[in-house]
Amino acid sequence: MKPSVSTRNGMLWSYKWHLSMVNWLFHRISGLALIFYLTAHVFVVRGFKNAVLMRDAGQTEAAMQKFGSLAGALENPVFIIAEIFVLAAVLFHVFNGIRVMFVDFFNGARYEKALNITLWVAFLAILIPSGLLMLISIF
Amino acid sequence: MTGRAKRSYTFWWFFQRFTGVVLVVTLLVHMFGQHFSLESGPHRSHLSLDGIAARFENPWWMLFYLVFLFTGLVHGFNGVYNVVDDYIRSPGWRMICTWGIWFTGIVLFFWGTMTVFA
Repeated sequence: MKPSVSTRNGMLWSYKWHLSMVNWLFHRISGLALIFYLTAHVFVVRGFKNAVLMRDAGQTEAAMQKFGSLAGALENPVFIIAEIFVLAAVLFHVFNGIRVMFVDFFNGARYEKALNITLWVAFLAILIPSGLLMLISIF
Repeated sequence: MTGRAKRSYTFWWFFQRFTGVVLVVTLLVHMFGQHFSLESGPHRSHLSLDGIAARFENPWWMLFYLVFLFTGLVHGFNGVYNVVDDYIRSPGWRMICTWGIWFTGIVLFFWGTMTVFA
């Protein structure tokens, strides 16, 4: 077998492109993206906890300032647009994960096409209205 | 080649599905508990310092977040390991990546747990 490193590009383009393969690729990309998001989210929550600790120590003004700067960053349009991508990643990862479990545990490969259609309809049906509501909230 | 694989792929295959189901449930609790407000239509719930402080003092939320954090990290980093397992062939790099995954996961769990308790 040829080493994959020298043929990586060839391997990528020799895949047979069909919807289930696209789902697999999106599942990986969204999963890796979500690990980065989780890390950032833990840091933001740490910031809020620091504000709580300041408040408990009687530094009310510093606590409100810290809280205000964090809450303000979360209401920044750039952050909200980034959150729409996080929502898309979560929704896709969840719905495709459910599809994978149907395939693995309930012999869902028999209904491959129906499952793929259901996945994409459910994903877009939630993402589009929610994304629009989030986008509207900027203005 | 004889002998068993060093890693039980069946166990981790099932583990990823089990933690996935746990995460769907805990994520829904998290989102409806902290981030959504359904009063007068769906919108972001407004953060308040008092609300956040109250949740950090509630032992049930503290327990919930330890479970959520731990499950999220093991599911996430097991997924990263699967990617490494698929694409990294060199034994040296595989070892470096595996140690990196463990290190980052443990640091994040420690950091998150510290956030809940102190």
